[in-house]
Amino acid sequence: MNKRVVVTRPNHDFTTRYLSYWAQKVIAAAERKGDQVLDLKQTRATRREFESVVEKLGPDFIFLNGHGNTQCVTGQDNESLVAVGENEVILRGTVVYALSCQAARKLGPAAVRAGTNAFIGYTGDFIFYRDTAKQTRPHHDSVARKFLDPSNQIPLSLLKGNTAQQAQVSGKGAFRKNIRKLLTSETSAQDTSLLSALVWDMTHLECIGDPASVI
Amino acid sequence: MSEDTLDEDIKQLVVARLRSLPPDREISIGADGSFKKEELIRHVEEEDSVGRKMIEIEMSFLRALKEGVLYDE
Repeated sequence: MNKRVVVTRPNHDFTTRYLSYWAQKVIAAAERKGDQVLDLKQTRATRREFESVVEKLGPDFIFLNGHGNTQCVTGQDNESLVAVGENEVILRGTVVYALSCQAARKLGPAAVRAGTNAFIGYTGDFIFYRDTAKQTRPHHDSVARKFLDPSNQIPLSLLKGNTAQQAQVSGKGAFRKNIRKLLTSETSAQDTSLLSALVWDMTHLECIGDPASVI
Repeated sequence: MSEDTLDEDIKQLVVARLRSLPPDREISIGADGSFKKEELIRHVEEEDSVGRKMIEIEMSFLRALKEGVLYDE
């Protein structure tokens, strides 16, 4: 059965530009398999739009991209889209992947208490390196790709029908694969500087809620 | 060795690792923003919130190496 997917993609600084670009790959994959995707990009990534779309569509999967903290994930111009004690109940009955800083620390558990099936996210900041020569062309940035492709592995795994826990394990595996590549002798000394950030992201990726949840 | 000396050693270790970054790399640390190599080094030397975060990231990596996290399946 085709799935209903909501994606939020603010784009107002370099970080959100990159997340937004990479999320397009997930949207394309979902659309190729016939899933219904509601793409809240740029100025549509507001709380009002988000709540309205989620209530009308009743999505199976919500993919949040943007800044955040332990309490919330934000949209365009850092407007809070979903926050602890305000509207986390809107995520009930869904599987969520939050590509956002620290959201798995408090927002994730609060969302699960409010009925979210599973919440995958990061208990620390999501950090990534970029190549400044490529920042206007994210698709050519092989440095950022080392971080954002492993992140994409999580929603892509969910879209294939894997469980939330399998998606988390798959994401960690993709980070680990890139870490191992960087540890090999063929890697330049400069690229080894990315290791600490990749390890950070991998170790802070968590799955909260029912690990057997599928979308 | 005093705690102050240890902290200073750790700081210098992190600065040394950051010096190996190529000049065309920038790190995005969520809502804290994006930082170039020299900015990161300054934050670490000043031990402000971004600097402390970078120290935590680098120390976490060194601990992961020691604990074999990178080789878990």
